[in-house]
Amino acid sequence: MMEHLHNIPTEFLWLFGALVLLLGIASLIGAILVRRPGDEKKLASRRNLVERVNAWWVMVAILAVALLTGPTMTLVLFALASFFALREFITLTPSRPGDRLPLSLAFFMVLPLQFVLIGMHRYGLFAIFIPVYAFLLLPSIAALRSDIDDFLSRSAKQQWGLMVTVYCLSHAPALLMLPLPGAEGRNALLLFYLLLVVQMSDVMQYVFGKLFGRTKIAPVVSPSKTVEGFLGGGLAAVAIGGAMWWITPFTPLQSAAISGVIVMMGFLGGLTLSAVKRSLGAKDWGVMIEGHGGMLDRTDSICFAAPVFFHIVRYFYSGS
Amino acid sequence: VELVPVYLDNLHRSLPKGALLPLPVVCTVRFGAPLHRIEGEDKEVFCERARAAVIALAAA
Repeated sequence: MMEHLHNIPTEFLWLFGALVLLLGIASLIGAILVRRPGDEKKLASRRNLVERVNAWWVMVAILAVALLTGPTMTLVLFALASFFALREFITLTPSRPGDRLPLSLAFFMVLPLQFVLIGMHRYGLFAIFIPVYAFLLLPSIAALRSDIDDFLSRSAKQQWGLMVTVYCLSHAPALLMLPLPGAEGRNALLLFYLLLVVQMSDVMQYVFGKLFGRTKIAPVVSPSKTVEGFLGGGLAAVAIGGAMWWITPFTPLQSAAISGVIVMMGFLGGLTLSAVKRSLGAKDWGVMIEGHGGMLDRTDSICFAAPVFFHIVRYFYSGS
Repeated sequence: VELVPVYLDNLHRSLPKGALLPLPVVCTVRFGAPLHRIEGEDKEVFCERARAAVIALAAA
């Protein structure tokens, strides 16, 4: 499985080198900012900035190791991310004794199998396994236990969890199994591209929002999302994505348009999952990543952007 | 002797009595401030106070 990466290490070294430089600058700015005087609120938000940058170092390091070691490690990494995200989702979801078996199956059978199917390049089964088999059989098991209190709301919540944290998220590493005529062996770069645009969009929206944010988009759902932040950050991410066309099968213009779709879906993912989270009565999904909240706080935008990006690439660039 | 109140949150969901497999939900351990003996306090009153300390942690 290693041969996938043999013809691209130079590009990866450049990309990760650029990220290390970027994070180095961010760390430097953070170190200068926390030393400057300010009121308690400003200091807290600067400390949060430093925590976020530190967490980014760790996340980039883990991603670099996984991408450079090959598809199997990348799949394992995303399966783990999926596992922790599902865990956060189910923790906030009320369940009854009748849900134990279906939930155990979701964690220990459906989730690993979904990633194994990607590893085996079974696109047909990968695309329908959860929507057909898991979505029909798991509630059936709960029904067989004749535990009918709040049945619809319980199973609907579990299906949301499984759909977002496993099915949607698994489309990111699924990019590794797409045939790319004319760009063989460059799948990992596409995955890198997706993650870069999504995360740059998040970071830039955060930065632009902090600097110029005035008009809140959905104050009740997500108080930090502003029109100025979304437009400024989104355009910056589109510019970065467009400039990265050379690692993809896209032309510069196509790359900018596709980045626009990624930014839009990522934004909707953050917003929608924030609404889901709040309707479950929480502010953060968890406390796993210092400064960022939980795994699902960091991956919410990937969950929505990955399936759409995957299918754009599959439909237009995969020759199928 | 100090007695520390400890509350294990979500454990009943993760591994209830009789379950074979733990459900991997996030569980939290919360520690409270140590309880000291108050001179002249009898056993019942102390137990009630300890119970209240654990319940207070559950609501946190």
